[in-house]
Amino acid sequence: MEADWTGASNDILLEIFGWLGGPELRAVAAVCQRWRALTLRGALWRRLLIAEGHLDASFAETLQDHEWNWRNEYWRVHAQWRLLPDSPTSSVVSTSPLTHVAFSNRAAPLLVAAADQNGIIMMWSKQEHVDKVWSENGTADVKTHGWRYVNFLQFSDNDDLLLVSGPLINGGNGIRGEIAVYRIQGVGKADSGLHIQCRVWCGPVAAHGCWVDECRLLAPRRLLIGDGQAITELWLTAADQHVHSENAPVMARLMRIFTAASSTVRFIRLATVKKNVAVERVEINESLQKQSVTVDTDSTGTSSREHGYQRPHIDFRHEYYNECLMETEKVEVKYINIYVEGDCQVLVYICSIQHNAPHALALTHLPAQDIDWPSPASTPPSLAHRRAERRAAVAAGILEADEHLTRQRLRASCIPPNALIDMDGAIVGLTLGSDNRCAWLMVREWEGSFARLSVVSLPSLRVVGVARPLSLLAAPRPYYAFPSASAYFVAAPSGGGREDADEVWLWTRTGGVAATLEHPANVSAAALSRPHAVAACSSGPAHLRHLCATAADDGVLRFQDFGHLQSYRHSELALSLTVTPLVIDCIQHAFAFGVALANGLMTLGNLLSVILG
Amino acid sequence: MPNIKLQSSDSEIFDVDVEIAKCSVTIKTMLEDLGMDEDEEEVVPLPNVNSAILKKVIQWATYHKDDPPLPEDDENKEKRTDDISSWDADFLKVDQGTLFELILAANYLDIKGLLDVTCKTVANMIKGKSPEEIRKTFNIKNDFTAAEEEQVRKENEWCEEK
Repeated sequence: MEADWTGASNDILLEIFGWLGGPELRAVAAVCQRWRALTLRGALWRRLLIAEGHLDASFAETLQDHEWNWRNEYWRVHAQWRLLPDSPTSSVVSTSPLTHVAFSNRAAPLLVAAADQNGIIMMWSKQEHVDKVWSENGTADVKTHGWRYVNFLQFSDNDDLLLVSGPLINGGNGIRGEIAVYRIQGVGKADSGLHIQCRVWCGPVAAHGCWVDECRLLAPRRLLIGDGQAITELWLTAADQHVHSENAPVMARLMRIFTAASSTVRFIRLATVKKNVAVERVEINESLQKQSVTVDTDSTGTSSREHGYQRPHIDFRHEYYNECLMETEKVEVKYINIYVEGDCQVLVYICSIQHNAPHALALTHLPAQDIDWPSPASTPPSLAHRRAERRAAVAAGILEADEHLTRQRLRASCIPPNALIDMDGAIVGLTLGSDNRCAWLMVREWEGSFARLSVVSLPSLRVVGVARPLSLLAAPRPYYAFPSASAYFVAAPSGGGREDADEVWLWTRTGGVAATLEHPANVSAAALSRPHAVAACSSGPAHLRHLCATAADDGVLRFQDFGHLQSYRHSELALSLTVTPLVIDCIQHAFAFGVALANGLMTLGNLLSVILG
Repeated sequence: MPNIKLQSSDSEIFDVDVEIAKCSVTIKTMLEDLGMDEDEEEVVPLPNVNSAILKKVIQWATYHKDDPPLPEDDENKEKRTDDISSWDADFLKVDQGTLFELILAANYLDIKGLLDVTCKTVANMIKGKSPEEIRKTFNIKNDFTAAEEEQVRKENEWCEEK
């Protein structure tokens, strides 16, 4: 007896398809048009997600089927991570180009701060990661302080303070700038706002400065010593100067850095490297090894995207290996041998060796226990006091009378870096991973318009690998191209190959390209939020949600929400998905005038409160 | 045990134990809702099932009459298709047409156990096959346009890498 399967009702066919798994449903979808249409039914895939423990049945009941593409969800889960189809995204538009964007360290409430070329700092918050709405959380106009704009933002560890740095209007060509610290108040409340509580020098501007801990920051100061040579002093500075010092600086000199060929030190960052953190993750995974060996060195980056995914290009085994090695023996880095025990602080900065363009990564190990951090309350001795001390020393015969600070002595007082790595290209962006194990550098090659993303291991002070080259717009950028690294992903701006469109590449930490997120403009910074666990599955593994924000010169802040399973493993390759840009409703904000006015008033209030004590 | 009479589409009458007939939710509802008294010598017409298939259905129901009731459809459980009993497997060693008719009958009569086991059998026929092999097995015409075919191929490409 011949069966006429075309005569079977949809119900019957769905009943049969209900017994199939994902791969079989894929095959079924390729049989004929009617079968294909049936496999698009969400219920089939939702059932699979529940049956395989990826989705909690009771939670699934609360979700509207029509809002979810369960078929896509299923495949995203099976790619071990997924972009959320209807994620809470929004973009906020400023009237001028955005220069930087940063997320708070905490996930709830989540704060995001951005700065534009017009000198406006904007901050938004949302209580829960899944909230759709960002509420405005204060703005500030740095032009009222005589700044041109802000080019760097960093939240303090406990998210109470926001460090911003940027050039002064009369600061020469990026030579003189300032760091300001804003107190973040009333997150999510009506009286939310940004209140300035510290201003300190920052020169050169590109050095940015950074947080040391919740209440102290590093402020660089540049001293020319002639012949195109300069010394950069790092000052440990209290973050609440207006409160504690009545505007007198509360700071102590930490160290001097000599830069031979050029004036600029850039991207000063401090990383606390916990050496034991990663060692437990040492899995010399056979499959990963094999992949590392068979890495194809296709440098175009674009062709392989057609295959759907890319293999890891970064050999993290080196990092692990070095970490293990360092437990037992000395590790040779480029210039000197070092041996570090336990946790240590690594000072990271970009400098120049041969010519003016920033092309070298300098790393200095600062053994944590040896740093004599001055307390914020202590002020440096006054000049009169120091002169009196010096006279007393000369009188006591400790110091020669004619001994003064010569260039040589100044130079000798500088601390050379433990490692100086020539990246062979102009460094246009740098980020430290959230766990401080690696520094990720955007390096623009000397020739051509390509940039690459290099990974440097901080514990072992050496280059771990190079992520597949990105293409970067040939046109010089007014600002940097800040990458961002979380514990799972790395996001880096990249030219999309078109004149007018950038995109942001999302990489897994193992170097596989996970996705490209579109942002059709010159992206100056990408920021990844700390992952936020979503208890979607009570039985199965929890999902981690991430948010990637991109700031670009079109004034758009674009948020892209994605998530992945917590069971993500290094050895598992993330598969690339064709990411349709998650739809973003553009909220047009005419910031310039209203905000400037509001800020003027706010700053006046601040000044008054400072003056009145 | 009281019996009832079931009439197939080709007018053949089957005398069946009421308890066995009641494994069909359709018949059970009919008996209860329509007030068909078990004592009456009424004939239940089943216009959608022919005699050959109804015979098979009754054979299956008789064998499974003492089975414990099936659990409620539980979405949390992974659906397995490799747990077909040997009796069922033998029972379903039939041509595709019969299998198809059995599914239709099980669906019409609302016999969950039979529907499950027949659908599982068909699902097993799909498993491990390429789309082309599936078409051949079920005699289905490929009605995709070239563009659609390409689209399908693209979609399937990366998941086959796994």
